[in-house]
Amino acid sequence: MTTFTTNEELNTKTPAACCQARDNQCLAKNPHTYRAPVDVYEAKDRFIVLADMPGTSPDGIEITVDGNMLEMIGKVADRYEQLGSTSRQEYGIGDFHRHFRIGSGIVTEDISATYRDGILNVNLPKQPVVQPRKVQVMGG
Amino acid sequence: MNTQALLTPNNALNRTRYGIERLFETMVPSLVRNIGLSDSAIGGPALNLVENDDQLFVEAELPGVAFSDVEITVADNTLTVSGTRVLSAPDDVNALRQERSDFVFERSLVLPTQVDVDAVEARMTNGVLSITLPKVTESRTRRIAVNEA
Repeated sequence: MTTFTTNEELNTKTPAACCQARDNQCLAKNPHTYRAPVDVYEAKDRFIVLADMPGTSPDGIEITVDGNMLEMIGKVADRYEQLGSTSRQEYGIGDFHRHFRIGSGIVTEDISATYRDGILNVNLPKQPVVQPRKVQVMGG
Repeated sequence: MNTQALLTPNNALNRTRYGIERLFETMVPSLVRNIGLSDSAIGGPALNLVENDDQLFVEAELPGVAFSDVEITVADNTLTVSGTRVLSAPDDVNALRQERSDFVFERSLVLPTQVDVDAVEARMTNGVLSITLPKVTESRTRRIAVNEA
């Protein structure tokens, strides 16, 4: 039973577009939203999502589950404003955003996450009912 | 074949070409952004340069890169940043999606001003490498005492 759908509803690579398509209000709030690259793994008892979100912090991470939608946001503050003027900019500074559809087989209240070295690690435990179970066969 | 027709701005070929150019204009910067590579130096991380009166700040996003795996040199007013990223996957798992990868990087940047090489500092915070390079102040006016012969 697959409980984690990796084909995203909005799989765009254009900055801000995923935000725009989902919620124009969101775009208005923050015009610079970037798609964080992710790896998704499935273990026997859980799913693991690893996302590159450099420049945010544990406090800047927002993970929400709304119905069957898992949303991960990494807020990135403009850290250049106080330093000086930008004379060369090869990448933009802005929030990271990804979302996935998840099935009913995940214990949403037990989702946990850590953030270290710019990588967000989200653990999504499976419901015991969808975990593989070995049935003991008794002799007659 | 009427070649003139091919050159008119509204024909299908030009529209297609325009469409392809638009596609590249849209995709390349975001691709560059998403895989962290500079379009001017594939193989190196994208760099941002911020400066004030006293210092230059160079920054690169290197999530998952250990600071001990980064080498930074400043020579002939050129900053070079190199290193490797080695990711570790969890044990006993099936990969459903893999957009992240290991990489080796090296990038050089000619600095816009002279810097004090001995005072360069670097740190890695939340996957962002920040290098601070103090500018060398303009040679101070020095008063030369002229002694009477």
